[in-house]
Amino acid sequence: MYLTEPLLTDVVKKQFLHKLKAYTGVFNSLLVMQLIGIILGFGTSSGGSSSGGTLTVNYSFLTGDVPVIFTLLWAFSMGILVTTLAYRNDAFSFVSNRLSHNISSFLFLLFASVIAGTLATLAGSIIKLISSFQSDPLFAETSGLFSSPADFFIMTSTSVLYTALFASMGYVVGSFIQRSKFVLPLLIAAIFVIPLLQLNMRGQDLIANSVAFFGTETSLLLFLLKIIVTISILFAISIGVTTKTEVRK
Amino acid sequence: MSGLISLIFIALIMWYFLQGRKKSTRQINKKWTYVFLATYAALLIIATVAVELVDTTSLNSQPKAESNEHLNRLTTAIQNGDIGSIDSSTILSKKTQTIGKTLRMNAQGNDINSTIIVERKSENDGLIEETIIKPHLLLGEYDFSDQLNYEIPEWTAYSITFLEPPLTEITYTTYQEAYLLRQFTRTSRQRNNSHHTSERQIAVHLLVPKDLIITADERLYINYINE
Repeated sequence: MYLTEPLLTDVVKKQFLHKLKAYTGVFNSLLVMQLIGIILGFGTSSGGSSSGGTLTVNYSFLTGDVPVIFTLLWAFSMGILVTTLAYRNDAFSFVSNRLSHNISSFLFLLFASVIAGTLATLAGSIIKLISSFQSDPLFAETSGLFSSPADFFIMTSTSVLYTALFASMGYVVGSFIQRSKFVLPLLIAAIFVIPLLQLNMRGQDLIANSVAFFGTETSLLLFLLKIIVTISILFAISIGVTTKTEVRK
Repeated sequence: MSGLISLIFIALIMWYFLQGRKKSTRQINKKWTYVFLATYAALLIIATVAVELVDTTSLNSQPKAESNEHLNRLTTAIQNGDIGSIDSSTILSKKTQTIGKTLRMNAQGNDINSTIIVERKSENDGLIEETIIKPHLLLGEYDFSDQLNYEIPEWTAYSITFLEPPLTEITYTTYQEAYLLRQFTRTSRQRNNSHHTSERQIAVHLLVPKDLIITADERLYINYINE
């Protein structure tokens, strides 16, 4: 019993603002990852050459896949990172508990996902722009900001949602790792073993089904709902896993 | 093997970031982090706007390929000598040539891919009506017909010579947005990096007098209608 009982929302707000200032390394790594993604985006173009009679055709294909993939990898690793001891100790500079720490961390991850997802969508523009200044003609099959603003914002939203999903997955994995150090080797083993086992449930591949659950959705609203529900479940699991952890453990 | 190298590379990057927190010497000034981030974001926004401006001038200037149905109709019309049904914009030239009793069709060069259609009239009026149909070149989803080099046949009093077209070299790059991000857009999610080529050199339709004697070089492929 205290004279002044701090409100959870106030604590979360303070912690969130603190994390924005303290976790700048997260954004440094985002920059590095996206820059690597952009550079590799040029290097991983496919293409070829065909020749017959008096006609020779040289063609190459570029995509914005690599910056997006690297952003998702970043999101997953950042999810894990914010659960590490050094980051957790930062959070307890304030009067706080495990719940407020989890909520503020999740809010921070969502905020970072919005920035990362938006930048991932824009990152393809650099690849497009530099390619368009090369001597070969460039044909872009894209949804531009001005030519098709609705599609552009849908792409940005999709990117943000996927980034948030990967960050949440990283966060729950990180929570398990913090709970027990045995989780990490098990997790690494699982990443390599599960695809080999081709786990089946009622004759259907579990991993393929999980990917299809999000990847084959055609309605953005339903997709949004699926992401919100999944993130909420992951968040609840994280809280459940870390609730019994000591405050500064 | 390359997949394994990529996985190791990605694992190393993730390890670097996860380790980075422990080493304070690697920490960049917090203010500079946001300066870098804002600069990066500004550059991306400028690039996005600039691409749009370039886009309107050159990126999409190449015409999209006509549908397969349209091309099939055109091919059938050419092969059947149904010149009247061919759109006038597809016809390169039309002319009439005076001819005697014989016509020699020569070939100059080895790669003569012109489609040659010979159709006989019901009368002997001493005239050959030549119609040349534009060549077409489709690469993937784009129409490069205007970049395909060709040679118009050369006429003399008793012969026509088909020439090997000059070399054509086309180089191009296509860009597609990330596969994952196109999940809900109108743009097809189907990868279009199958390099499908459809090429036809000029088609020459010759409407010749009923009893004209034709001798042709064996390197030419001629389609005689109703013979």
